[in-house]
Amino acid sequence: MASTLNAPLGSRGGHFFFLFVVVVQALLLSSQVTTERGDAALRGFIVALLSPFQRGADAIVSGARSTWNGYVDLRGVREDNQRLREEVARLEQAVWLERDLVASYRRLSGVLELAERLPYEPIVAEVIGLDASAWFRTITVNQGKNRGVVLNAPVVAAGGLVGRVISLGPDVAQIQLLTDRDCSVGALLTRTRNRGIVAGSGEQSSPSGLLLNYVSNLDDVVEGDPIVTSGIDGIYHKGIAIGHVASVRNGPRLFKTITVEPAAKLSRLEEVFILPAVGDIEITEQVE
Amino acid sequence: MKFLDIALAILVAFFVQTVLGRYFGFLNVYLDLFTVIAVTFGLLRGRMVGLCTGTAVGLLQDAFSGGLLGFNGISKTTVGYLAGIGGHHLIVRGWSRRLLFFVGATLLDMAILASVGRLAEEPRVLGEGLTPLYLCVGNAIAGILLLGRVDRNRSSETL
Repeated sequence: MASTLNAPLGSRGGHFFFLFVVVVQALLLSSQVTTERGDAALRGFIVALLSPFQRGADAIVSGARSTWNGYVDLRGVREDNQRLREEVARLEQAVWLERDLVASYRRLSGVLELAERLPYEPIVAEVIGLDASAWFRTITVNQGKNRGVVLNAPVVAAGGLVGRVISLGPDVAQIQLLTDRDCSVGALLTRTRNRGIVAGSGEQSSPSGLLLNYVSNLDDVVEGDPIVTSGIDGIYHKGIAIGHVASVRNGPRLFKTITVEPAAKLSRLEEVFILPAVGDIEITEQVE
Repeated sequence: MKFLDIALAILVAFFVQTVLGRYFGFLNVYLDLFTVIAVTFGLLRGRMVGLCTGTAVGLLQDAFSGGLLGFNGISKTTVGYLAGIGGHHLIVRGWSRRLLFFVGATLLDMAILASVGRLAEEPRVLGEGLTPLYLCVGNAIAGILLLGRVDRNRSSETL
């Protein structure tokens, strides 16, 4: 006992012993004291003393845990993201296929309807090529001489007039579109019966690529007026829809400047009907 | 024999504070002999003696004060222990230094009591007005006297 009490000052044992004695007395004190809430005072003291450290440690642990969970989740999310991207790509592909099927159905329905309405026996041809120029003014189809296609035969599509055959091969034909600047079609405004000539204009003067020329400034023309072939050019049968008036204004001289919106969607042709040439029909009718 | 004077001092303090204090109430107001004993023996005989003496007198004081056991125990233990450390590092000779030392020890004791009382949600009334100051002075005087007495005894034992 004496040696313990005479422990050197530098010894840590003395400090620990002091702390031990104080803590024991604190415990003793706590066992006798209850707070207003009924808790042991020492518990409250210890809680108050250690809670900041506890909160700090908890924050560190929860932060680390959150980071780890975030990392794990991120890995899962990345895999999910990859899988979902592939799924989206697959579904997009399927949707596009469905849309293409619907569009094909509608287009072919229109073609079938037109074929039933035509008074002639048309040759159905599929577009297999376009003009290499920026504006498609000629197209190539997969029917030619072998199927009876002749030069200057009118070509129509689901909407209306497309153009005429300008070149022939055994199994192909090249068709000049209405929008070609060398193409001219005798036209008739169905509402007023005024005549004119529809010609390809080139992209500068008409966005649609078609102009209706030689209609007097005095004639009554309004936007939306339907235009059909007049039949006076000797190439196109009478009454085939060409399009409608897109814009109209009086020209500087005698004639109006009229732009025409084609009835057939010339930039999206897939199937066309090649009609018998006007002269062929007349000959056939005479023979019959 | 070495601790006999400590035991004797504790007995005297107990007698003064509990027996005489009943008749002379000011003794308990202006004097805390238990603190004086813890500081004195810690100062003279080192921190461990101060610690043990402080613990003993503190618990004794608590036991007979009707208060919470450990209340004074903690304060007296701490004061005795720190007095031992202070006695090792400081030269506490001359009445003025000793007076200051006892005043400081008494203030520390009161501060610890107040802190422990606050933590235990039992605020301890240390006295009003100048009472703490009187207590410091009373302890200092008693401490100087006791310290001189014990110091003399130790010198005579050494001789």
